[in-house]
Amino acid sequence: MLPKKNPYQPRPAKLTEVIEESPTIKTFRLIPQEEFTFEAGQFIELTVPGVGEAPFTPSSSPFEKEYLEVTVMRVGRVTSALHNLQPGVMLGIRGPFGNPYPLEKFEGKEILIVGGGVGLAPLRALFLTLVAEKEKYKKIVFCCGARTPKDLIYKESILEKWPKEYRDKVCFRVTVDQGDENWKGRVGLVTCTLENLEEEIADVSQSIAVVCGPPIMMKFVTLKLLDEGYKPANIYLSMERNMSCGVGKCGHCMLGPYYVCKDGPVFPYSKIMNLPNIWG
Amino acid sequence: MRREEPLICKIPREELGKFLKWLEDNHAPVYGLKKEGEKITFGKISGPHDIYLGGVRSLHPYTKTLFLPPRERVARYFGEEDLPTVEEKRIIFGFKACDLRALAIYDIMFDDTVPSDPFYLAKRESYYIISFDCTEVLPTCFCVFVDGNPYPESKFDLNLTPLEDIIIMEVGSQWGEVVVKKYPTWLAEPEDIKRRDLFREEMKKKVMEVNKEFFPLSKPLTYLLRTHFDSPVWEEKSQTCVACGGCTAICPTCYCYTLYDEEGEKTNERTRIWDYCQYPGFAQEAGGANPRKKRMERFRHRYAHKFDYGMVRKGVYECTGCGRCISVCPGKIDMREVLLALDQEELKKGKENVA
Repeated sequence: MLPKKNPYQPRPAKLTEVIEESPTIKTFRLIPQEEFTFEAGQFIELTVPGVGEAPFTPSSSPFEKEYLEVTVMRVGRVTSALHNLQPGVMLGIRGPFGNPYPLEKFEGKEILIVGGGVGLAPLRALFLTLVAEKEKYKKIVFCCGARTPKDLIYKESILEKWPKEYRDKVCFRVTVDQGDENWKGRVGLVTCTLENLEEEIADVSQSIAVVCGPPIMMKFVTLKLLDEGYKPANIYLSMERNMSCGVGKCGHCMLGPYYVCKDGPVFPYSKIMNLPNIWG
Repeated sequence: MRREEPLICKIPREELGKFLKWLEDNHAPVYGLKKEGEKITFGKISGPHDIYLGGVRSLHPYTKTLFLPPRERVARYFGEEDLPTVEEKRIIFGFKACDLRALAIYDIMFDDTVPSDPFYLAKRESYYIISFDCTEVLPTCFCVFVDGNPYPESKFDLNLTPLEDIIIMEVGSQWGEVVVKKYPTWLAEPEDIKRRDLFREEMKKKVMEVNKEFFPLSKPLTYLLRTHFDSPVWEEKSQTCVACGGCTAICPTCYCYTLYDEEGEKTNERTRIWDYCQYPGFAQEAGGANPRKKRMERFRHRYAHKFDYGMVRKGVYECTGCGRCISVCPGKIDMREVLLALDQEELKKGKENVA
């Protein structure tokens, strides 16, 4: 019997809104034309018709049933084409692919989220998932970094809305590598938000850390976390590779024996720490 | 379902042409390996003179070309579900054990690994396979050292072993059983099977003979790959690699690919094309990051995939020992030499530990 579904065929999703997050990053709001659900951490392949597709982890809440958002930095062929689009066009999606964050392992724990640049995108989906059932978690510490204040995405949410709304449960630490005349917050690499962690996290040995950002940032954050006493099995990393097929076959995203698209994209550090070149 | 005792029959050797015609008349057109001069090709078999009975594998990896074509449309969008149709049945004659072991790996990858691939499965349903034992050995053959044999053990409908006077037919599927029951064959006698097995042992010995300067190694390949991952052997042996991708293109078990989109008149099309991990850009991300920047890392990845990751993920070596990569490499890289170098390093390490 042949399968009834073609795993390579993108399903239509209408682009309804484009939100400019930073000079190089935009959020695209899509309305899937066929039923679509995902869990935080899973990714989709987004097709610009006739141009090609690229992998993105949705940045909107998985509980949001009306639409789906992806936050995209302009870096290559597909993302450039995407950045040139106006609302109204039909895009394609495939997925969701890969494993979500193992939330059952997060329950009752203090959770540290560390994101840099466009790496905040999947973390927004995770954050919104966690706070939707915040009674399940002991505490959430969200550390955000960007190059400059202009590059910080979801600025309003991170600087104003969320800290107020989730005051009882969440603590924010925000930094930029380089400030400007209006920036009154922290200045320094994202690792500087991990100083004096004990002020917020009572027991690092039991705490869960979730990290997403550019490879070099993930590397230094991971090393810092290990230094602070985090267990390798409790550090979850979003591994970026050039996932193409999404279904564990084409070979582009191989990381040691793993297909990032199928076995990841989220890995506990303990699972990949002995593999070569994990920081790309 | 395979029965424990396979059904084994025989026909007189001179009846092969008659058998071919009977298959054509009663089942499906026959395609397969043919010999044109020194070259082994593939095409419609029009008569007994066309049959390349026994022999060795072709240089071209026909299993890959037939079941995972170099270029294939895998989706039209947006529109109805774009699914392949099963083409009219054909019979393929002449695949060898290494060709079928590649097929076994595709089955794991494109059928068992969820989601299964409709395009592959459609082809899988289009072909009956009548395979042959190898009756010759090439200097590049090393199947015996990667868990294989010069005779097919699975994935065939019927397998033929040509002996001097008879052809032994082993049934591997329900269709194969129908064939040997409808076509007037005799049940093979224990004597016949003994002769076949003796012949097979001889062939195995010949494969060992051409490999005596390389194999057997002192340790399993997976172990060597894991413990010698950081070995200088990788840098040294990849020196003459020109990143042409020839080894990956010709390799029946290199099934990696790229999806490629094009704008059509009415719909957009997505095509799957073969892609090669030996190309510098294979693993590169849009942002420029490349986890395998160095030639040595790409070279090593191919070996690691075949002898370590394949074992981890599928429980098999993803190498059939067909030796095609050795035949085509312009840098004269011999996979066996690379593996041997790892083993020699291992033996040296052992001696140092003793001292």
